[in-house]
Amino acid sequence: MEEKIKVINSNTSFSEYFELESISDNTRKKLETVDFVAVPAKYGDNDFCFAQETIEFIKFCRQNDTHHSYDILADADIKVRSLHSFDIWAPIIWIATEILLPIAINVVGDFIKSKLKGREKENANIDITMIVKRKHEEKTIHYSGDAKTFKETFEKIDLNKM
Amino acid sequence: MLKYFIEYMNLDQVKSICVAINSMKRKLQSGDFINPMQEFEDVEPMFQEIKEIAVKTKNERLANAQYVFKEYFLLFCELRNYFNKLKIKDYKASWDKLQDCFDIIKFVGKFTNEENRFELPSLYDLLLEYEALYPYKLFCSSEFVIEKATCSICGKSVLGLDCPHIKGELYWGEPCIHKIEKIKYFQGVALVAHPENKRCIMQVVDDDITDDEKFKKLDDFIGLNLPFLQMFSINSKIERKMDVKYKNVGRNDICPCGSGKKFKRCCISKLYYQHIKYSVTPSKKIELFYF
Repeated sequence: MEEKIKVINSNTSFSEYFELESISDNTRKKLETVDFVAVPAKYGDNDFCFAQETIEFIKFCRQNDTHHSYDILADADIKVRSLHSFDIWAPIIWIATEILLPIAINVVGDFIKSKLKGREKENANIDITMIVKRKHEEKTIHYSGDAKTFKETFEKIDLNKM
Repeated sequence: MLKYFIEYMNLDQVKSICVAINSMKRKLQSGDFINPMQEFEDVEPMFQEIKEIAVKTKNERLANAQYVFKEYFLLFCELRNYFNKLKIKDYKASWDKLQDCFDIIKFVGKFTNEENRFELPSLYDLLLEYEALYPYKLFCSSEFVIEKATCSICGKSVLGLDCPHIKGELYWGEPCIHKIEKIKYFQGVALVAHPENKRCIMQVVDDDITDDEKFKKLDDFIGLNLPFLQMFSINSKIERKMDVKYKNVGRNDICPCGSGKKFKRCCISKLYYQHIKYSVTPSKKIELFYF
């Protein structure tokens, strides 16, 4: 299985989502106050949905890392896009500052490990996007590839040079 | 969790369950597949009693261990069920049973460290070889947007963070299952090689291939009469075979296809076709673990 990491400069705006779903100010502020926020993506014409594993991922992070804050960018229940392949469709994670990126990679690695327990011999892909705030700019890192080598792939990369 | 369960051998129910599973494994090993669910039905109330003891003594780990062991027990019933389907050549129905066995092995594995899984890793490898004998390689995977889903443990919505339970985990001997109650819309169906559920197979409705032809590889294998718990590997080799239709046709003869041309100028390229030859290499028999 091939691992693909794509890093691009981005400028993400959630204004359309906030407007469409009438998102409260309190929720909007999560992007500035919470360390890791799962955010939606637009599917189809008008619908904003969260990735399949979003809630499980945030619950997992909260249980396993009590030093950082994890939340979802929603006032109430979210809409989830369900894809029934065995691949792991992890959420798009908004990361408040670049120094938290290694923590995110670590926690995603642990999440993969927990998902694959009992299925160690199976191949599985993971699809994950991390949006990292870097002072006045922003980078989007997208990984799509072998779930088992996710962590070691990132370990080989100098995250500061991304 | 399996080891933890048998640590409670001082409980009569655990002792009886172990006697029953040993007897069932012996039947499996000797090829006795009659009434595969009988033993499970006999011991099911005992699992419930152990769960009640666990709840009464506030031992959630035991409650969960009884659930995992119950699934482990069920696996051997399903294996007998599966091999029986192969024995009676009900290949179509055997596929779902095979997937049931895989699901249980994975479920038990999720709650058991690799070194304490007894015969499960060998059984998994064996079933993978069986799976490769089926004609199913592509599966359907549905894509949809879920608007309402609840947790089987607390009944709360699983689309928010109020529900503390995690899908697939055990809570006091019950698995957390997400119940989808409202789907906003279906987006499509994808063809995938590695779906969550392999029961959704792809079949062409109006093809001319009979079930006998579809399951030929599996049927040829079953015809070898190897013991069902015998590990094996299948090797394939591509061979060129002569089409018997053209066996006695000379190069300069009129082509049998009726074109009126000489064979060498017409269908000579069809004289040989590629044929995949399979050979089976049996290896060790699986040793079942007795308690």
